[in-house]
Amino acid sequence: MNALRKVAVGGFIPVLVIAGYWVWATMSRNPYFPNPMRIMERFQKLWLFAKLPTDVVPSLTNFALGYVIAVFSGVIAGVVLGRIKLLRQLFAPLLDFARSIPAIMLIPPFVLLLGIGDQSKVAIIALGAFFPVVLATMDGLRRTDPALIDVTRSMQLSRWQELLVAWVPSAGPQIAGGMQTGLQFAFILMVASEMLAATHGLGYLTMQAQFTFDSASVWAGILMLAILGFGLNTLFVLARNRVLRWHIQSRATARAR
Amino acid sequence: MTSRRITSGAQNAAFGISGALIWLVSWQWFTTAGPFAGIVGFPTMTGSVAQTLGLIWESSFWAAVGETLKMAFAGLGIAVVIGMGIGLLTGLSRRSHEALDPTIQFLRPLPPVVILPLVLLVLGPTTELGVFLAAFGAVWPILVQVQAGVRDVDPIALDTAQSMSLSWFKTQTAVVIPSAIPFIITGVKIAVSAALLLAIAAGLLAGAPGLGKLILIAQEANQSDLAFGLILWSGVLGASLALILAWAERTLVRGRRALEEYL
Repeated sequence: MNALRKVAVGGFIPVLVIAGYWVWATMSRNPYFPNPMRIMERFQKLWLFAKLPTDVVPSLTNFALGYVIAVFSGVIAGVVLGRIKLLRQLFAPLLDFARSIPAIMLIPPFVLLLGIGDQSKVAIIALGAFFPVVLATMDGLRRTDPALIDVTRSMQLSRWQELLVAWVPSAGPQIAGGMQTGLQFAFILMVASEMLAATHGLGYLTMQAQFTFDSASVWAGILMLAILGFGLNTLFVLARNRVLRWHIQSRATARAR
Repeated sequence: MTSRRITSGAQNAAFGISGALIWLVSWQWFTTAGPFAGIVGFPTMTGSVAQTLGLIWESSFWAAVGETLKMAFAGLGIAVVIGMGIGLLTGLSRRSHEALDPTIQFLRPLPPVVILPLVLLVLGPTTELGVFLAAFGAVWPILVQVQAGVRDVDPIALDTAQSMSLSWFKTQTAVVIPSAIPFIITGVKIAVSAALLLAIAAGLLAGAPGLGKLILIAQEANQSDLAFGLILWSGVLGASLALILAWAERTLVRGRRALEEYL
């Protein structure tokens, strides 16, 4: 009953906005704002499932590849920089500076270097998602509880074991935070790089529709991008909550105490 | 104490500068003698640095920086007004929170770049396009922080306001908003980098004026060293904005802490 009420209250505004838009779009006949029926029809025609294998699957493959490269190299680089003081002193300021560069600026040089194919897309996504992961990993290692390290020392673990059972897991929550920011960067860069220079892909098709004033396809493309962005973020949160269950539980018990 | 802090600061700067030098020298080696020598699209370090420094004398470059900052800050201003309005509403009233929160939670993770084609369709490659996108991207962090800040108001201060029978409006302006200011600053700090990114995206992807358009032109003219110069400058821009806001945050938070201690 309570859940039902929640849905009714929370759904009220979106339903109102969509209904209002529907009435307005039907009456005004503004070519840029087609009514929702036309958008849904176009959505079905494009994305269920005609263009899915040619324009969504390759984009998501680039996304996944770039993101996985970013996470692995980011965590490794973060651990190296976090544990070796000299390297951190030398390169942390440089990384801080690199993070201030708006990620979108990185697209043109990659287009010039690697062309407009999948290779340059993967490289752009990987580099953009790399920075948040490295910085979060370094930060997480810095906050590791010294008592935990004393415990591993007293258990006489090797340095590698110490790294794997103490340092990296205890930085887990921070790493997850960096990975989530990285996921958003990766998605933005996937879409933006396709909008700028590509021959296929969701961003490309939606931008092309814009150039030909095909507003129903623009709306359908945006809807598809929104669903993908929302879905990827939700998947990430679910996976994170599973992996970090120990952390969430220990925080809950700490709070209960 | 202070002198030790100064020496360690100088030491850090020395390390940072050596790190940057190592990076520059290896960049030059890679592109002149190493594996990337002679590859089209991979500019040499000296070429890129020359372009970076050359831009200082280009008035069109500074005009573009001005355009980009104008779009980012106009968008930020709009985002502050809207974000504070909605954040105050959902922070203060339980009912409006229940009504608006699901919509906010759905819209917030959406990258604003996604709506760019539609905004371009309606507004064309204009300054307004950049302002709209920057506002759309900057509004979420501000909204979330304002909401959290309003919830964080000291209940004793609210009780005091009530016992002094302050009007609702007076309570908001004299108690709630001032105590939410550090949160708002944090929101603005996050929002600035989003606004800057989107103002540049408007130029690069949609041809709106500013830095984004300059780098698009550099790409189309195959000038990868110029593209690197622009990237370095955009990093300088982003880093200086971050520094200014970090300073503002420290000053305001310190002022508040001093006030709390005094009280």
